[in-house]
Amino acid sequence: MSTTAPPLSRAGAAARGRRPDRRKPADNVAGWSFAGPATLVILGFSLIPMAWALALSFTDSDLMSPGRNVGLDNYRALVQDPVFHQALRNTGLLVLLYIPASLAAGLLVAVLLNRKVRGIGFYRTCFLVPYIASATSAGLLMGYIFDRDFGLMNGLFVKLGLPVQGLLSSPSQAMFVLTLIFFWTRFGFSVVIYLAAIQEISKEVLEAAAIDGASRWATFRHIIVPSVRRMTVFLAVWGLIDALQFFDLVMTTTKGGPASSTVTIVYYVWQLAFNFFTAGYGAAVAYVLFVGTLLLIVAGLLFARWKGAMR
Amino acid sequence: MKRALTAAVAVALAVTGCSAAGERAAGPVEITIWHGQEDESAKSIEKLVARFNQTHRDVRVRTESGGATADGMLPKITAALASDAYPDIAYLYGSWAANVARSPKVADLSEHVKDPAVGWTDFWANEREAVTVQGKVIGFPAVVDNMVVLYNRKLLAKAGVTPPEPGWTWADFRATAKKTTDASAGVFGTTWAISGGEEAVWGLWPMIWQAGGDILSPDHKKAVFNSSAGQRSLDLLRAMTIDDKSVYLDSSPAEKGQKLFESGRLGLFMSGPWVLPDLQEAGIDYGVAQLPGTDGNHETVSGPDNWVVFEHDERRVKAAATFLSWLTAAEQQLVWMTDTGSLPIRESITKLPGYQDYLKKYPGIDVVSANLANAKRIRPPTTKYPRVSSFVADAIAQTLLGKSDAKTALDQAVAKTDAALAVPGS
Repeated sequence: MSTTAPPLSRAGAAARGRRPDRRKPADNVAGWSFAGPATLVILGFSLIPMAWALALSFTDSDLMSPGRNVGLDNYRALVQDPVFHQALRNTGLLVLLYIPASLAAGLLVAVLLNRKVRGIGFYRTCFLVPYIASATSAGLLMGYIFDRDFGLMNGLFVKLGLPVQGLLSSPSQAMFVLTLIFFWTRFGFSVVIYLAAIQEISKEVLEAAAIDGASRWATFRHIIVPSVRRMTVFLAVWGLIDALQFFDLVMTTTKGGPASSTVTIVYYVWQLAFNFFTAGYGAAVAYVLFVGTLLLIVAGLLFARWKGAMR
Repeated sequence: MKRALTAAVAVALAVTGCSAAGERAAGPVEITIWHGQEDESAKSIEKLVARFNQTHRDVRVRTESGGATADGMLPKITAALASDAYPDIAYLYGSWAANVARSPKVADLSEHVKDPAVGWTDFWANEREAVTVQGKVIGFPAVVDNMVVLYNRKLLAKAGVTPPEPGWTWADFRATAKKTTDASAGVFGTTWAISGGEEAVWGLWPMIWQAGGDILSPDHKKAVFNSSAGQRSLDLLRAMTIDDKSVYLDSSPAEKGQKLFESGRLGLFMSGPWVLPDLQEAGIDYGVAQLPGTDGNHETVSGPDNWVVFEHDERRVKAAATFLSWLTAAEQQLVWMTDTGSLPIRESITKLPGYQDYLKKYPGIDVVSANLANAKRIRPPTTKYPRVSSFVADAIAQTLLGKSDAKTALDQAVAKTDAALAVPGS
């Protein structure tokens, strides 16, 4: 490799954002041969399908026959669609309950697991196992536990002298039950992330706090919570995406019933595209979800920055 | 970026181009079938395909499960059609036929089935109806079934009720369920699904038909299931559920109900022949009866499933028709039925000598088979049916949970259905 300009000045020019440097074709080939496969994967599996889905959302396609262009009609229709509104409410409830619960419980359990006791590896594993278990098996198992007539949960209520609950058979309770199941299968992830973050906190800080006579609560409130704030932002965003895309447990437990009380946005998208043969409309709902998720994440990150959690 | 895109498209075109050219090669015509079967059924169909390949030189059939069970075949085939990677034959539920037939890639076998060797009129009438969409024959009948009532002999005897007789009525059904129920022992008279799927809905249709009602108007423009027939039907279920407390409401897609029956906690179970192998394995002493009737009408609902043929080129369509007419012929069907416990799809099968052995192998199957005569109608073959079904599922759940009376719930479902049916196009 012989270059006319010394490497340093080249880098300098690029950094200052001046005239783009002229690379040799051979460099291009080498570069693309590294980036090419990944680019193709991203193009093929993300960007092209996304563009295709956007185009689909302006048609009345059923995926079987070529659809007609209907402009924004799909988007107009969903403004008035009662099932879509119900799906928004159901998913919103899940998000509002799940994110605070998973952050609080995740941090609490992580603190409890951050000790040197015998068999700590076993306890840690216990909390991660539900996360690893497949949604199908979790859904089937929980479907039995939360059954109204034969479930363990109502059996427990009866033992404790409490009234029998409708649980998965009740339109007003089913979504709460699914939220609880979702929480059970997911919060192990928060535990792992928080645990790693807590172990990163330097010993000196904790020792200094101990010497200053900080109580356990003060240590938790003023050292641990601020130290893991970046992870909190990450987990909140991750949990938001996870909850907004909630689908699999609905599919394996209630199929949206009873009386549409557990239809979530993504379950509705699935129904529209693959059950009701209105893929164009389904794509429109999916795009509303996509844009909504994006806006929520941006708003969340701006809030976090304003609060100083992203420094 | 643009260049990369062009390259990707070029590669994709080259790949599809290659496979298209390969088809023209000499030798036997190769076709692929996505059978969607599991366990015993999968083994049986693969055995039959191997036999076909041995005896036929000019056609070579490759089996694939399609990576999906019969339940999940529709999304799979939709994706396959969109990406031009579809099989020649796929196993698809009859209720999907109207939608699938909208694809221009679905073959038209109307001419092929006129061949006397096919014996088209030997298939039951409702099967032929289910595989014909607006005059176009899109495949061959694959499996037929119908709804019957399975009952637990021991539980009924314990409750002191006589097993259902062929001429039993709705009132008998209600009384039997009520007497069998024993809350303290965790025993229910019968079960109904209140999940959001078709499993919650299809049992209501035969009741409405029996009472003289229908689902949609003949032109499929209006919903009529809120007629007095509809109200009487749903009201019976409501009374059994809420007044008698004899119905276990199944929040899952009808899976828990079956498990209850298998574990001896359910007196009567409305279901079909597909559960018989499971019941035998569970060792339940069961009996089979036709549906309870009203005014002597014991009509049932059936869900004929199809082997739908997709067109690649004329040779392959012809090969697919050849294979399917062999597969659905009486001799092959008897093998399939004996392996899987499914029902005869042709009348002539019942006259084969081996048919008696099949009846012996599956106790109760004779009742299910005779019940085919009660399967007079199919669910409306419109692309909107799945949507209609979801509205009715909600109405049923509202009523059986006591949130609404039958009339209000059905009226609401009809209003929603009419709105959905009024949307033009698909």
